[in-house]
Amino acid sequence: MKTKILFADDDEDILDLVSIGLERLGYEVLRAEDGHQALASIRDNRPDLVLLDYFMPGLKGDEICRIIKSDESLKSIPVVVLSASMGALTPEKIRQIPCDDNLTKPFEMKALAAIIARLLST
Amino acid sequence: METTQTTPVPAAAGRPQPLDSRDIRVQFKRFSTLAGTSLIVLGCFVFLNWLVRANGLGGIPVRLTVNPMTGVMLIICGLALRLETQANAAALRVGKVCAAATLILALWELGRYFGWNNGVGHLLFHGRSEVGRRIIPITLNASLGFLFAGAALVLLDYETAGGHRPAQFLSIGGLALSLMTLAGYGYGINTLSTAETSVDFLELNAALSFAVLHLGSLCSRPDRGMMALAISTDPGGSSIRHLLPAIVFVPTVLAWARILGQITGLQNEASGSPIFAAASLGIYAALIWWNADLLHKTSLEQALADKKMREAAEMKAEFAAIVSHELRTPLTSIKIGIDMALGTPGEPDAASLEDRDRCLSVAKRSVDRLARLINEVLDFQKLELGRQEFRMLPQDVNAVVAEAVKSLAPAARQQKVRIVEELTDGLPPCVLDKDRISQVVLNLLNNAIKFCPHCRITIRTEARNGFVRVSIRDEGPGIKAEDQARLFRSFSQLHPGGRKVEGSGLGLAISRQIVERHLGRIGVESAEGRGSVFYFLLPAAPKEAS
Repeated sequence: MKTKILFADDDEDILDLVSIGLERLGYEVLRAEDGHQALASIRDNRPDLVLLDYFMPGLKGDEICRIIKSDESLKSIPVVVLSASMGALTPEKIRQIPCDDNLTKPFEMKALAAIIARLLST
Repeated sequence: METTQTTPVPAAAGRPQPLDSRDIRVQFKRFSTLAGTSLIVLGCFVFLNWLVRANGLGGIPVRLTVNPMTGVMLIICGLALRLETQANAAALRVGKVCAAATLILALWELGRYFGWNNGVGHLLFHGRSEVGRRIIPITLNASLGFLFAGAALVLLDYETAGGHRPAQFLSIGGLALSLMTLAGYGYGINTLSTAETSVDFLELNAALSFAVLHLGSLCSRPDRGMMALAISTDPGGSSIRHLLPAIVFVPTVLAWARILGQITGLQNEASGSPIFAAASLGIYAALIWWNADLLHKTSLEQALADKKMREAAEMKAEFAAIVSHELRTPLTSIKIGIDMALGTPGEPDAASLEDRDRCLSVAKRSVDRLARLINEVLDFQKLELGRQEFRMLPQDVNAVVAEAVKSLAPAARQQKVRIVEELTDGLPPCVLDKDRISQVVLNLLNNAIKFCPHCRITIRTEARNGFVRVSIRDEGPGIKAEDQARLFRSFSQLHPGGRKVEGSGLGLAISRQIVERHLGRIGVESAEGRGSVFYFLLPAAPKEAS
C-alpha cells in the first residue's frame, strides 16, 4: 500500500504542483483546500503524514496542529507546516507550533522530499 | 422591500493647515521697521518744534518748549531700530552704534537726576535755551525709557547660554514703565513724572512712543528667545497669547475701577483692597481654568493624533508583511514548477510530457500573477502617496462604462456571466481621467464576474444630485455588514465560501483612491444572500466646463 500524505493549501497552483511532485515520488496525495477540509480528511483517511499551509481560510495550520497533537488517535501522525514568512509569523511563533517540522515558502521540492523521507523513516 | 446595508466610505478628511509662523515673523519685522520709521519722524517733529519755538519763529511767544534732546534721541533710537531689522551687515553695525549712542545719552541724562551733571541737552543746547523760555527737562520716565531701549538695542542679538535674550527682558521692563505712565495718565495720577501738570499730555505722547519703541524692539527678533515661544503654534505659544493680554489688561482695569470707586465714594481705601484682591482672584482663576481647558483639549487631540500615527505605522508594517506573503506565494509556484519541469538533479523527474506542461503552465500563470501583483502594489503606493498624475478632462461616463463592458465580454462569456447595461441617456459630463475611471469600472466588473459565475450583472449609470452614479449589481453571495467596511482597505480579500479567489486584494483599495482623487465616493450596498451593489459617485462637471 502506498504511503498517504495529506496536503492542504488554499493556493490552487501550489496544491497542484506539490501534489504532482509528491505523486512522482511515489506517495498517494490527499488534497485539501482549506482548514476544515483538511481536518475532516485527516480524521476520515488517517494519512501517514500531513503537510499544512499556515494561512488558510477556516482553520489555520497551527490550529489544526494543536487539534491533531491533542487527539490521542492522531498525535502520532507527523505534521509539517509550510509558511510564507509574514510579519506576524515570527520564527519564535513558528517554534511554538506543535508540528514536527516546518518549511518557509518559497521552498524546493528537494527540501520537502528530504523532510518527508526523514519523518516517515522514524 | 429589500433590506440592504449601506457603507459609504468617507472621503479623506482635509488636514487643517498649520498656522504659517514664517508669515507672522515677517509681519513682526515689518512692524519693527515701521516703529523705527515713525520714531524718526516723531523725533524730527519734536526737534523742529523746538527749533521753531526756541528761535521765536512761530510768532507765538511760548514759555515752555519741548526738549530738543528728546527729538535727537528719538531719531537716533528710531534709526537704530530701523537699521537693526535689516539683513545687511553694515546696516546692522551702524544700528548698533546708534543704539550705543542712545544708551550713553540716556545714562548722561539720567545723571542729572543724581546731580552729576545738567544733562547732555543742557550742554548741547545751552545757548539756545537762553531765549527766556524754559526747556522741559527730559523726565525720569523718558530717560529710563531711552536707557532700556538703548540697552535692548545694543544687546539685541546677544543670547545667553540658556537661550535667553536679555534685550527682550529690557524691552518688557521698558513696556511696563510705559504702561505705568499710561495707566497713571488714565487714572489722572502722576507717577514718576516731575509733577508739572502741563506736561501730562507730553508725558502721554512720550509713553506711547516708548511703548511703540519697546514693542518694535521685541518684534525685531520674532524667532528668538521669548518671542519664539510667543508666536509658536504649540500649546505654550497659545497659552502666552491667551493669558498675556489678560494679565496686562485685568489689573489695569481693576486699579482704575478701584480709583473710580474711591473718587465716587462708593468704597473707601480700606474696602477697596479686599474687593481688588477678590476680583483679581476670580478673574485670574477663570483665565487659568480656561487656559488649562484649552491645554487639556490640545493634549487630548495630540494623544489622538499620536494614536492615529501609531495605527498608520502598524498598518504600514502589516501592509509590508502581507505584500511579502502575497509575493512569496506565486514565487513558490514558479520555483517548484520550473524545478520540476527541468527535472533538476535530485528532484523528482518530470515523468511525462503532460506533467511537464502542467508544471510550466502553472509557473507561467504564477509569473503573470506576480507581475500583476507587483504592478498593483506600486500603483497603490503611488496613489496613496499622491504621486499619481491624473489627466482630468470632461468625459461622458457612459462611453467609459460601455468600453469597459466591451473589453470584459470574453471573460464574462468564459464565466457564463451576462452583463446587462442600463445606461441613462443625457448624463452630465464629468471631469475625469478616462484610464483611471475605466480601471475602477473594470475592477468592479471583474470582481462581480469572479465572485458570481453563472449569474447576471447589471451595470447602471444615472444622474443624482450633481453627481453621476455608476452601480454594478450582482446576484452573488452578498457581503456581511461587518465585512463591508473592511472591503476598501488594502489586502482585505474576504474568503467567500472558504476558497481564495484569484486577485491581489488591492483592487478595491486602488479604486477607492482613484474615486476619492476625483472628489467622488465609492461604496457598497449588500446583505448576505442578496447580492451586492458596488457603486461610485463622480461630481458632474459644472456647466461651463462641458
